[in-house]
Amino acid sequence: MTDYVELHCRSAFSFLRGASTPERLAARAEQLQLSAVALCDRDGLYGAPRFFSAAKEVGIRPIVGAELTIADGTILPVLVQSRRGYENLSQLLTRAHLRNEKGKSSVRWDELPEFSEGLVALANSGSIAKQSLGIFGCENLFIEIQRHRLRGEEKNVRSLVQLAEQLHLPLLATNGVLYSTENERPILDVFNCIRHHTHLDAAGKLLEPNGERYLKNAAQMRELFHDFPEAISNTVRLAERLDFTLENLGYEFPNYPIPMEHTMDSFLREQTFAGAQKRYGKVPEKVRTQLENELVLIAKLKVAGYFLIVWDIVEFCRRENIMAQGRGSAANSTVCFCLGITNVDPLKFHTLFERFLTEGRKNCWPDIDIDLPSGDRRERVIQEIYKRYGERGAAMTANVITYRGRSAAREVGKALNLSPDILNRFSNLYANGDFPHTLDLQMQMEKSGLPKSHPRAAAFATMCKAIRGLPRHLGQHSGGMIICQGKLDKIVPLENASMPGRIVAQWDKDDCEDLGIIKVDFLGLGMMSVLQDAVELCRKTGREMDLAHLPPDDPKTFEMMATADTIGVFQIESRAQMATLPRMKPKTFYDLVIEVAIIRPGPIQGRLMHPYLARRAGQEKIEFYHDDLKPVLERTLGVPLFQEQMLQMAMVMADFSGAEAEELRRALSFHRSDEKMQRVEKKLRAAMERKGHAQRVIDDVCKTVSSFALYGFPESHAISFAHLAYASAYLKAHRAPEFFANLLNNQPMGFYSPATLIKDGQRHGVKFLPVDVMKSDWECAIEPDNSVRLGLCVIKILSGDGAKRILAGRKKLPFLSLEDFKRRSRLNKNELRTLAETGALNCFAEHRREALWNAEKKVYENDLFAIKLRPKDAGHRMPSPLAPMNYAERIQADFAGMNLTTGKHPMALLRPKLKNILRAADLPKVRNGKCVRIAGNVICRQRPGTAKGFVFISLEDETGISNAVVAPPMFEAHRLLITEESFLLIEGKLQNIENVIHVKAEKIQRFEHGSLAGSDSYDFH
Amino acid sequence: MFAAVFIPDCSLQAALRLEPDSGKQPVALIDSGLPKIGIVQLTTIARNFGIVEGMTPGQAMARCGHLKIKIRSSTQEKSAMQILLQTAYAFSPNIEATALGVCTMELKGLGLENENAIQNWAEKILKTLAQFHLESKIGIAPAPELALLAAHGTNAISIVQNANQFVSGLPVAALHPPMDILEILSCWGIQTIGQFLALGKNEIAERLGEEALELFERVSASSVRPLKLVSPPEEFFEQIEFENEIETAGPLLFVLRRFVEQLSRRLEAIYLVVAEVRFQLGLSSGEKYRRAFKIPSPTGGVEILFRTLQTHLETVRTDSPIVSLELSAIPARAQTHQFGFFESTLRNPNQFAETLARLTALLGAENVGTPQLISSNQPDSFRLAMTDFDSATIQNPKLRTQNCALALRRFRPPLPAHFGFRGEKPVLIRSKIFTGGVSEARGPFLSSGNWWDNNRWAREEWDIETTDGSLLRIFRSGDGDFVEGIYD
Repeated sequence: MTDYVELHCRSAFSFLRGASTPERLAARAEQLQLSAVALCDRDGLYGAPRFFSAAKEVGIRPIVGAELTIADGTILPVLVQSRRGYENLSQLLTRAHLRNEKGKSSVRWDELPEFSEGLVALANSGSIAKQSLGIFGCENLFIEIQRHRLRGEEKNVRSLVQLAEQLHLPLLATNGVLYSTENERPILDVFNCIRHHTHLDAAGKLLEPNGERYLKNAAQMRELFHDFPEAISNTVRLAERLDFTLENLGYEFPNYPIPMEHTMDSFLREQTFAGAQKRYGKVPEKVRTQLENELVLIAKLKVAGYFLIVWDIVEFCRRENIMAQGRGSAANSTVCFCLGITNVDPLKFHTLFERFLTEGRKNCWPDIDIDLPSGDRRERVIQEIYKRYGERGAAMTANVITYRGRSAAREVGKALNLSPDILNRFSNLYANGDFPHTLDLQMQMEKSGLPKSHPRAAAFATMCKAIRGLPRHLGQHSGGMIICQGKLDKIVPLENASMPGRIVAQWDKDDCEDLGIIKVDFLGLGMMSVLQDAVELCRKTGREMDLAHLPPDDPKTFEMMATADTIGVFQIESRAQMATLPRMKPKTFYDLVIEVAIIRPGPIQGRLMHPYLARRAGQEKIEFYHDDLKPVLERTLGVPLFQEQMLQMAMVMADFSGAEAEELRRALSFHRSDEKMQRVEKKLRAAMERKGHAQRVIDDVCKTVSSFALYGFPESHAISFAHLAYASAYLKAHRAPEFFANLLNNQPMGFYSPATLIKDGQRHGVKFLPVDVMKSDWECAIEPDNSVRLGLCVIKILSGDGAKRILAGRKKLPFLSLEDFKRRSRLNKNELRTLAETGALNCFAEHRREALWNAEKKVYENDLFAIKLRPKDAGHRMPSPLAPMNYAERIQADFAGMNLTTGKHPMALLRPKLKNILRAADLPKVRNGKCVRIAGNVICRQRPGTAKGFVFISLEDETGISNAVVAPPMFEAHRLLITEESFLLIEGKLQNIENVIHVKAEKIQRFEHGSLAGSDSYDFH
Repeated sequence: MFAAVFIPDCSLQAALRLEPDSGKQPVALIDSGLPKIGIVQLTTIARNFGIVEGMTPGQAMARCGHLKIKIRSSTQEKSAMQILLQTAYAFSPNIEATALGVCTMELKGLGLENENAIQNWAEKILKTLAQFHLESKIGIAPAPELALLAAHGTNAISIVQNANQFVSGLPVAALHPPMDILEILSCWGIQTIGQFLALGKNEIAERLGEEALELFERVSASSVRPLKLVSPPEEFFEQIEFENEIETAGPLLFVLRRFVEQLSRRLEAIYLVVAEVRFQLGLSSGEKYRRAFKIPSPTGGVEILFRTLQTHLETVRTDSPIVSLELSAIPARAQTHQFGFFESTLRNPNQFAETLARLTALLGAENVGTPQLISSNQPDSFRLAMTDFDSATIQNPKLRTQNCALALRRFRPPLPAHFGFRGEKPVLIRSKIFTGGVSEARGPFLSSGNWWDNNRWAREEWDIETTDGSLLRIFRSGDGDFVEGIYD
C-alpha cells in the first residue's frame, strides 16, 4: 500500500456535485499509483458499482462511502468498514430517501446510532465532531483536514488540529476530491451554475476559487501536510481497516417455497418434465437429453430458484389472464420453453443454449425478460412483485439519465450566459435530435448565431463535449426489477421514484448485473395488449382464434407481407421494413425472423443486408468464410445475422467454449472498451491460428465478428418478436376489424397515428363507424355487421369519469333525448361541445350543428316547465336554426375533436383542384426514373442514424402512402419547411426497384390545404 | 354621434412604429407571455406568404425564410396608446380608452354640423396619427360600438347612415367576441353579424351567457352606452427593444433622434415643452444604465434636446451591448419652469453632465465613478459605477469581517516587482518599495477564474516578511510579479 490513500472523493454520481465519472477517477488513481480510493457520493451509492468495476480493472481497492445530508444541513462523510457497515449505510440511505420526495434525503442525528456500526465518520468541524463522537466513538471518528491553497483556510485547519487534540481523535488528511484532474474543474463550475440556476457571470463565489480539488498523489499530499505527517499516515491505517468492497455484497436471490419432499432442483425438474409433456405429449429423446443437460447446469450453478420464481410469475400472469412471453436469451432454453416461460422451441430453431447460460460466466445469473401487455396489466404484475417481496424487498432498477447533445448544449449555454435567442434557435433548429452526419457542433453553433469568433464559443464547444455522457439525474428503468432474499435495502439503497407507488434502486441494470444481482425485465409491449384484446374480442364476436395454434404458413398473411401491406403489424411496419419486404418476400416463419433482425443498426452498418438479399434473390453466390461454418451460417445464406451465429463462429473456428464465446460477445458489445476488445480479438486470432486457419479466413472472421457484435440481434429475440409479428399480421389478414379496433384502443403505439390506421383499415374493407354516445363503449368495439364502432376513448378531451357516467347512465336506461343525456351524464360544456362537433350526439339530432345548438342550451334541474319524457318519447328532437356542416367542415371537426376521421381523407377533397399530382396508388404504374409530383399529409419523418443524414418522408393521401427521400443538403436548405409543414408537395424522380417505390426529392414546397387539417406526424430518429 | 379611432394590429404597429419601413416587409409579432408561443399579428406581406395567426415561429419561418419576428412589448403598446389618447384629446374633450388601439370620442358639442365637416375633422386625426407612424381608421356612427365596427370595416373613414344595413353584413369576428364564443360561433357556422342577430337574443343568452348577450346588445343601434371618459395620460415616453444587440453609437443615435422628434411632436400637439429627459439603456447583462437630464431652459427644440443626449452618449461605454432604449420626457409649460429655492449649486446640469462625459471620454468609463465590490473569487475585484449625482445618497460602507487580524494597505494599481524563488517559496524581491531578501513566506494561495472567456485570470499569492521586517502581500499572475499591499 502506498503511503497515502484518498478517502474522500465525489464523482459525477453526486449529481452536479462532482465532475468526473467513477471510471475516470479510478483510471487517474492508477496513474497516480494510489493503492485505494474511497468514493463518497452525496446521499447515495450511485457510482459505487461502476467505481468498483473500474477500480478492480486497474488494480485499485475501491472503498465504499457516502456523504450524508443531516436534517440540520450538516454534511457528514462516512466510510464503510465491514459488511455490517455497508448494510447499515444502505438502510440508512434508504430510510433517509424514502421519507422524502424524489431526489431529497435527510438523515436525523437521533437515528444515526442505530446504523453506526461498521461505519467510520469524518468530522470537519467542532460541532460535527462533538455530535458524532457519542455515535461513532473515538475509534471510528476522524477529524478531517483539507488544504486547497486558499487564503484563510489555515485558521480552520489549526482549529481542527486543536479540536483533535482536545477530543483525542486522530487527524485524517483528504483532498475532498471533486474531479480527477485540474482540467475538469470547469465542469464543476458549470454544474454549480446548473444546480443554483444561475450563470457563470453571476455565480461569483458559488464557483470554485481554484482548481485544487483534484486527485493528488502521495507526494503532493505529503508536501501539503508536511506539518501533520500523522494526518497522512492515518489515511493508510484507516484504509487498512476498511476492508469491505462490493465483492462481498451478500446478495441472495429469494428462495422459492417448495414442497417439503423436494429440493429446489428436484422441484424444477418435476415442473419442467410436466411442462415438456404438455408441450410435446411424449417427450422426444432429443428434448429429454437437452433438458437433462440444461437441468444439470442449472443445478450446478444453483439457479433453480430463479427459474422457479420466474415460472411462478408467468403462472401468476396466466391465472390473471395476462398474456406473458419470455424473450431475450431465455428463448434459447428448452427448460424455459417447457416451463411455459417462452414460446420458442429452441430445438426447432437450433438456437444456442450457451447464449443463455454458460458455466464459466462470471456472474452466471441467466437473463430472462418477460414481455407483458403494456399499461394496467403490466402494472398489476409489478405491484404483485412489490406485494410478494415487500416494500424493501423489490425495486425497479434505475436508469441513469445523462447529458446528451441537446440537453448538454442547453445547460452549458445557460451557464455561459448565452442569449436565450441563441439557445432557442439551437433547440429549434436541432430539436429533432443530434445529426452528426450532416452538421458538426461547430456548424450547429454557427447556424444558431454563435460564431466561432464569439468569446465564449470555444468554452461552449469544450463544455458541451465534456459534460456529454455525465449523469444528470436518476430515472427508473422501464421494466427491470430486482428482488432479494431478505431485505433489498441492505444491498442497495432504495428511493422513491417520481411515479407514485414505485420504488427505485440507486443502481441501473448493468450495475446490478455486474454485481450479480438478479433482475427480471417486465417489458410492456403495446402489441401484446392488442393481441390479447383482439383474441378476447374475436371470442365475443364468435370468430374465435387461438394464438398458440395459428397456421404457420398462411398464404394470405405472407402475401400481405410480401406486398409490404404491414401498417400496424408488429416490428415490420416501419418504412425501412416496408422497403425490404417486397425484396425479401417472406414465405416461411424463419424468413420473418430474418426480416425482423435484418433492419437493425448492426446488419445495416455491417452492410450485411444487401448481401443477404442479393444471395436470396440468386444475384450473388452463397459463400461461407470456411466450410466448417456452413452449418452455422447456412440458414442465413452465409451472412451472419445473429449474435448466436457469432458465438458459434468463435466456437467452431477457434474452439472457444460456450463461456469464452459469451465473454467475447460481452466484450464486443457491452461497456465496449477498445482495450478489452483488442484483448479478446487477439485471443480469437491466436486460437484460430492455432487451428491452422488461413490468414485471410482469420481476418474475415475477426472483422465480421468485431464489426457485427456491437449491434447484433439475438436470434432467440428475433424469433420471439417474429411470433408477435406473425400473429399480428395474421390478425390483420383474417380478423381485420378486431385488429384495427384494438390498435386504436391501445394507442399510443407503433409507427402510425390512429388517423392513418383507420385509412389503412378502410382500404382493407373495414368499415369504421363514428362515435355514438348511444352505442359506443369506452373502447372501439365490433358491431354485429363486423364494422368497427369507434369508442369514446378517441374523443380527445372526454374525461374517463365522464365516459363512465355515460356508460353507466345508458346501462341503467337508454338516454331519451339530448336533454336527458346532458342531465344524466353531467359532462362539462367542452366535452358536450366536442361530442356534438364530432357527431357523437347525432343520435339526438338531425345533424351535428343541431346537436351543437342544443348541447349549448342550459340544463335546469327540476325544471317545472320541462317536457317530461318517457321511454316511448325517445328520439324527441329540438330543431335548430343552424345550417348543417358541409363535408369539409365535418372532416375539420373530426380532426379537431379526435385527430382522425372516419370520413374521406382530406386529400380526397382537395384532389379535384389538383393537376399533375399523382396519388400514392398511381405510383406503381409509373416507370422508373420518371419525374413525378406527389402531395399529401406528412405522417412520418425519419432520419435514422444509419442513413447518413438522409431524411425519409411519408405522405398520406386518399389512396395510401407515398415515400420520398430527401438528401442532406436539401434537408438543410428546407429544414423548417420539412419539419414544420403538415402537408407537402414533393417533386422528383421516381425510383421503383423491385416494387420498392420512392421519390427522390428535388423540389419541396408547402402544399396549400386551406382549413382542412390532417393527422399529426410521427417522427422517428 | 360617436367616432371610434382604431389602430389595426396595434401591437404590431407599436412594435414597428420606430422602424416604419418594416411595415413593407414580412414581419410577425409573437407574444412571449402566452403559454404556447404563436404569431398574434402580422404584416400584409407576411400574410401573402401564407402565414396566419396562431402559427408557431418555426411554422411561419418554414413558409417565409426571411420573416422578421418581433416580440410583443407592453411598453411600446402603452406608448402607442398614449399617442392615440393624447391626439384624440386634442380633437375632443370627451374621449374613452376603449381598448388597446381603440379610442372612442363623442362628437357632441364639437360643432361638426354636416358630413363634410366630420370628414375633414376625421382626416386631421388620421394625419396627426400618421406623423407618429400610426396608421389608423375612423368609424363614425350613432353608437360607440357601431362606430368601432365601422372603423373595422373601412380603409380610412366610414360614416354610418343606416345602422342596421351596415351591421348585418359585417363578419362576426369584427365584434371581437371572446375567443371561446368566437370558436362556438364558428362551429355553428355563423359568419356574419346578421346571422348572429338572427339567432335571437334569448336563444343566444340561454346558450352563450352574458358575454354573448353583451355582444348582441353592442350591435343593436338602439342601445347607446355612455362613454367612460378619461383624461389623456401625462406620461410621455418611447421605448424600443433592439432586435440585435447594439455595440456602436450610430444606430443608437439614429433611434434616439427619432424618439426626441416623436416626444417633441407629442408635446407640441398639446402646447407643452420638455423640462427633463430621462434616458435608460438596457444592457444584455440585464443591467440598466439610467440618466436624467434637466433642461435648464425647457424647450421643444429637437436639436437642443438631441445634442444634450448625444454629447453624453458619445462618452458612454457599457460593459455589455445595448438591448433596449427608453426615453421619457417630463413636460412643462413653456417659460414657466422655476428653479427650486435650494437648488443653487448645480444651475446647469446639462453642462455638468457634459463635463462628466468628457472626463469619461478621457479616462475611460471604467475609471470614472465610485467603486463597487463584486462577488467574485478574484481578490479585490470591483467595478466603477457612475453615480447619479442628482439623486446620490451617501451610504455607510459595510466593513467586511476579515480573517486576517492585520490591516492591508493595497497599492492600486499593484506595484510591479520581480521575485526570485527557491523551490516554491519566494526568497528575493525587487520592487519600488523594497528590494532584498524574504525572511519568511506563507503560500502560495491559489485562485483562478473566468476560464470561459477572454478575461481568464489566475494568480499565486504569498504573504511575506522581508528582511527589513515589513509584511507584504505579493502575487504572481500572467501579467508578471506584483506587490499587492503592505500589512500595517
